[in-house]
Amino acid sequence: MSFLETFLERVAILQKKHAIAVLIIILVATLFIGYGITKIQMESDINKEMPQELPIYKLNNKITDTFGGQDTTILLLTLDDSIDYKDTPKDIRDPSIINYLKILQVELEKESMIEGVTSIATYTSNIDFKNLNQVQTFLKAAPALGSFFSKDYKTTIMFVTADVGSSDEKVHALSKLINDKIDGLSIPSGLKIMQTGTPQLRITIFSLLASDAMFTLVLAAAIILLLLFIMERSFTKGLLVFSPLMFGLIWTMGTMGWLGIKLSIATVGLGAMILGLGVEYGTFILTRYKEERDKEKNQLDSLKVAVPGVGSAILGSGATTIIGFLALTLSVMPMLQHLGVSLALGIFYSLFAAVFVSPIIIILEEQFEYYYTHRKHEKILSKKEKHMRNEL
Amino acid sequence: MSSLKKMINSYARFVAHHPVIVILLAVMLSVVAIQQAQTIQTKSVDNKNMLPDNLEVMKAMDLLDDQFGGTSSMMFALELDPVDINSSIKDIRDPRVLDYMDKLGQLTMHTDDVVSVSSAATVLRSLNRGHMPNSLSEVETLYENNSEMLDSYISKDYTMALVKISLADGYDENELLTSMNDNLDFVPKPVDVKASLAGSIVAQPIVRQQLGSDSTRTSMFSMIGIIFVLLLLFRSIKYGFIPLATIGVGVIWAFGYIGLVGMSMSSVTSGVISMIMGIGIDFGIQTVTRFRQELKVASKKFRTEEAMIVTLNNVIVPMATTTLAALIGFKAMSMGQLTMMAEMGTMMSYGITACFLAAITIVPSLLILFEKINISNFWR
Repeated sequence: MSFLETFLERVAILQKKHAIAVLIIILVATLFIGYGITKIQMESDINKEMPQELPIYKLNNKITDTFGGQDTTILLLTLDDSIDYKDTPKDIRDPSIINYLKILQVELEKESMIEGVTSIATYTSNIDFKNLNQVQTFLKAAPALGSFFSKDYKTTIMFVTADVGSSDEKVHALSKLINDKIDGLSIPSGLKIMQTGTPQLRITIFSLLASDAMFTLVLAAAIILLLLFIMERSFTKGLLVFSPLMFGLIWTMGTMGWLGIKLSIATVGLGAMILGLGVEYGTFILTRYKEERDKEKNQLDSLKVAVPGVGSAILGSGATTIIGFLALTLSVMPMLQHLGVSLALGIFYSLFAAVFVSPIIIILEEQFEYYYTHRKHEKILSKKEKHMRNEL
Repeated sequence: MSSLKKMINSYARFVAHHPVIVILLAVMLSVVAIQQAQTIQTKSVDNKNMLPDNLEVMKAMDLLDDQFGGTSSMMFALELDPVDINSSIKDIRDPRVLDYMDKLGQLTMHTDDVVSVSSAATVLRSLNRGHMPNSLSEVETLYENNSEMLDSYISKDYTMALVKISLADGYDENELLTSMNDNLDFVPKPVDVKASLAGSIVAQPIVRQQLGSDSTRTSMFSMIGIIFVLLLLFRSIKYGFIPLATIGVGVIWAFGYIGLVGMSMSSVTSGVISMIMGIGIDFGIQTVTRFRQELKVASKKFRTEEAMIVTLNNVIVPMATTTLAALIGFKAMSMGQLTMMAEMGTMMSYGITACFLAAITIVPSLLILFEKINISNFWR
């Protein structure tokens, strides 16, 4: 017997003799590690998932730092075709819209967070247009300003530059500020305002990260659990395989929180992948244990065969999977590095849970079932005796 | 015996008794797969595709693309050499640099797919009634009165300037970059000024160039680690190397299929080979482990065939279950709204399925052949 098998046999003995104590220790450790989930941070900046050490990224970052290009919010002011009232402007160059742009620009420029605002209003602040013809004449004389309008004169753009850097809080604050300013002014009839640009993309990603991570996790969990119920032909067995997997998942997410590994667009599907890949380890342990129990061996003897036998095999196959994922840390792409580390962590914890937690849950469930059945049986027996004493 | 079990048993018997046929079929399939795999191309990751189109922010971006000629842009970054204290140019607004900027901009304007070019030179020319200023003091005077218009082109410390280029949609990335680099080479540059291409469009091909070496590096590490674990696990060269056929053939088949369906490799999917290897080798390990266990208890007559029939009868269903669970995980991963990694999940699904198929075809056949020709004693 190898060193590993001897060690795992000792683990099996410990699991049988001190099942409750070991389970309590595991639960306390789970509480501690799981608390890290509350510390998980979101990474909405796609740029940080790119290889920043390459000269081109250094140059792009320098340009961003110097000129603030990444932090530009683009406001698209467009005429809503569905609204067709008498007073509704039909041309985006309408003086009422130009005036609205002037007021909005002044309001935005008052804020210290905003570094600059550029729109057609920048070049017409001193001109009071009375009608559309005046605007058209002005634009004819300055054709370069035509780039602020779409060719069909239904849309115009406003650029809002702010120094939000990599801070998600600042990005959210900027978005709220712009929305408040828009809401605080009376918008001309038929005008619709849309926002886009890097800060808006980041806010959208930020808001989707948590919901997407939860959705994909729950979806994978539900389907895999269903698969386990079908394959094992038992709800209990299905749950026995699945429950250690949940420990593995909690430990993985918790460790990510403690180590400061952020949930990003690359790692958002991590939970679903860990469930899909980690389920096999628990299945092998349960199957082998049941095989031994069917041979009428007691719990300890069955564990002494299942844990070292299957444990050493799945530790071997799990090690290759971990190596495959850790290989990603050699990639130039930080997004793949983060994914590799997170997945390797997930597989490690799934293995650990299968070898060290799964057997305890299996024997405790068996003991509970034994106790429950025994008690039920005793109750029925005593009821039977009572009936026999008081014959009908 | 259920019909599924009957089917598996018939298949196990076929593989056990006709390993050469199975190997020949697998080799033929691999040849076709290699041809298909060679058609796989690399592509850049488009940030616009990472979010669904129905979101407000993406609708606005589409509108911007449609109505304002696209959001694609790139730039030339001109920098003064900060180290050279003897440099004759101390200010990026120097007329010699502006002249260079102007010529570079004019040449670029005639490049395919370029919609517009703007720089401090174009702004100063329009402010100066169509003429370029002749001296730095003239530039400074114009700058003082119009700094708002020039700040987006000239850095505040006057060491960096940008020539901004707007592009039409549908440009060919490689052709565009070649033309831009030609422009940089063609226009004589003032000494002490460094000119480079910048912007995310420029970064993407550079990242793509790294893909090949990235993929080789990660798969090599993965392969070496796997061989180490296999040798440690089986303590036999023969049994340590045969499971590698699972990932060798599995990866070829998977990439053949990827080529067949026309998928491309990107920076996101560059690590997929090492991941497939790490996961797929499990199937090979299971087949070899069970076969070795069955060899010990099989009767002497038809020992190898018997052991393989029992092995395949026992490993196919658990391995299929594992494959199914992994496929569910990968599919669920791509069901969210952030679908940047969805393509990676799809490729992983192909890879794992191919490794499963390799583990029940080529691996058992190789095990039988190597066992029969009794090469094990020589290798052990």
